[in-house]
Amino acid sequence: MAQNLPTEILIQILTEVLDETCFEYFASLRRVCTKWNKLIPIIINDISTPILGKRLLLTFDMYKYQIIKAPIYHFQTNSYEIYFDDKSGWQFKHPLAYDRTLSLFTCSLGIGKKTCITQISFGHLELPEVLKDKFILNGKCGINGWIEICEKNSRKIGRLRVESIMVDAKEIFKVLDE
Amino acid sequence: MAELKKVKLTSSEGTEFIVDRKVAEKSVLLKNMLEDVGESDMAIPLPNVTGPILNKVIDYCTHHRDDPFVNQEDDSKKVSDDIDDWDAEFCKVDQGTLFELILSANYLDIKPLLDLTCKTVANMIKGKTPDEIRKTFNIINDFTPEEEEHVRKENEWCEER
Repeated sequence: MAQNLPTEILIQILTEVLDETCFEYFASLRRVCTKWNKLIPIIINDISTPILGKRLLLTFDMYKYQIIKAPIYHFQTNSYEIYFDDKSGWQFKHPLAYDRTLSLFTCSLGIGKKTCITQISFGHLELPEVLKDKFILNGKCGINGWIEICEKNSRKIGRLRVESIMVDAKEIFKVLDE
Repeated sequence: MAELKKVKLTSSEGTEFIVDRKVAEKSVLLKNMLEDVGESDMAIPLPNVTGPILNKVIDYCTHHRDDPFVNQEDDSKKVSDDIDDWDAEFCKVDQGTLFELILSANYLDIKPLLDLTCKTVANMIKGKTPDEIRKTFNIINDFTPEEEEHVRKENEWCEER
């Protein structure tokens, strides 16, 4: 009978289980059967993304470029548009922090063929000050994405697209359970 | 005193139940049907609900007839400890009945009953290992050995306690 429950009801039950327990225990229930194995990561993703959006800082390491304007985030393309002046060369610029986490555990890559696309690791994750003393995000955490550079009105425009954010599950679930 | 309006419901086996309209209207499905049909003596057939389960659902709706209407979007979550004594007693049924109550609450669109029964099942799950959950709910382990090994490896971090 339990195996024949409609998916939306099973999701409600499992979400209830997560509410009552913790992410670490909840993730261990993926081993019950293939249906649970598919649903549990989806539920974790749905619940954790908005929480992490408020709790994690996404920091771009922009040391390569002289940024001339604050990056603009585009919700539709899930990307940051960054304007920079390449004449200034590779000058150091302090990292910029944004309190938004994007496409956690998901891949949203959809760039067509553009002038120049390079896959890079361009940033790292940080916790807000209030959580820094409690948790450690170790070296397994990082942000991966693509940088696209093209000419626009005789100016070079860089566009970063966040493809995925890697987090150490054990550490991040502690943050989520907090 | 005005006479309470009654509604006839028919279970899947054809058993007829007569209930107060206010009780029937705890179900959003029935409320909408009654509003569409207007005044009528016709019985409303409920082919997806058996007599014994309909009887339990009516018990629940009668007990909670004066509770405020719960909006679908209402996100105020009650923790399992908040299940009151009557509701806890109501849910002390065999597993088959509990799952049939869930399906009926879903079909009849009675959100508080659906929440209560789902919460009861969640309480039966929490704290159990995957093996214990499979045994409790007769869930077949349908992983291939390769898939099971893959999930086990992916889950090592949360099981290395």
